[in-house]
Amino acid sequence: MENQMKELREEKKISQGKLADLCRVSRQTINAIENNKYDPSLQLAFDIAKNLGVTVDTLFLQGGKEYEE
Amino acid sequence: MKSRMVVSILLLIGCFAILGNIIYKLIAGDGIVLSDVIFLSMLLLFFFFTITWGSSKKKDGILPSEELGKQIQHKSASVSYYMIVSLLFVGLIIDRIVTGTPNTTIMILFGLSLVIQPFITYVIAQTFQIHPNSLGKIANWFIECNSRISKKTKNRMLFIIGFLTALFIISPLFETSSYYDLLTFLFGEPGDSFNPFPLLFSAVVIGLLITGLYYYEKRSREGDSREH
Repeated sequence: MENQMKELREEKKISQGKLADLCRVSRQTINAIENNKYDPSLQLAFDIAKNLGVTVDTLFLQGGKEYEE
Repeated sequence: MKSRMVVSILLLIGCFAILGNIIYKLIAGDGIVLSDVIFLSMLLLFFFFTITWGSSKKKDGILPSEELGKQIQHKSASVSYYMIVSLLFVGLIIDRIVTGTPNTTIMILFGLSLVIQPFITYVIAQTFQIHPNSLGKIANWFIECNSRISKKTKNRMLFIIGFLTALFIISPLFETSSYYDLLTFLFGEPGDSFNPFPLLFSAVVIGLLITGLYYYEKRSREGDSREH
């Protein structure tokens, strides 16, 4: 699943290691998600979104557009 | 040098040493015993575990307890299953060529290995049904119990089970020594005078088993599952 994690993380000036610590996972997990090698669980997706100060749909929807009905 | 690398190298050297010993025994005409194979397998297991997983303190790799680690383990278990089935089939063929008759035990194991996967799939599928059948209910109960127990407790239980299996099953079946020989080794040949130590040792072993089971049951009831 494509995501905007790298852009949002760099925008917030948070390193992969720091984000990994905040989400209590390894840096490899954050890297795998950023490179679309791994889709995180809902829990981890919410943790990452919370720590980046965005919503899950912003993080994971294509183009970072908020979901609109 | 990182301690992880040092441990890996030491384990690898140990593996080569035992492998060399097994090859020497085969060349010399001595049969290899199960303990050689198990010991080599255990060392290889520790070696691969060390080079695969990182430590949460040192932050040097993927952790087996985090979700990516769990996904890796699930994937590898799935691939391993097909490899084991293939190996059983190869074993069946080799045994047929070498001995001239098909090995009944391997044949049964091969048949079982083909059935186990769809059977377990059926049971797991039952756990997700709105109205699961008896198998599904049992599986649900088991999954619930299992989720309450921490990895630490499971590892301790595994250690105790491994120790008792080695003592009471592997040792008497595959080696010349048995539990009786262990007692003789530890406390000497039984003489005319009463020696309480073998009984005490046996009581400690049985006590360990009962304590382990009690601990398992208690943990299962209270629940001590900790993800992090």
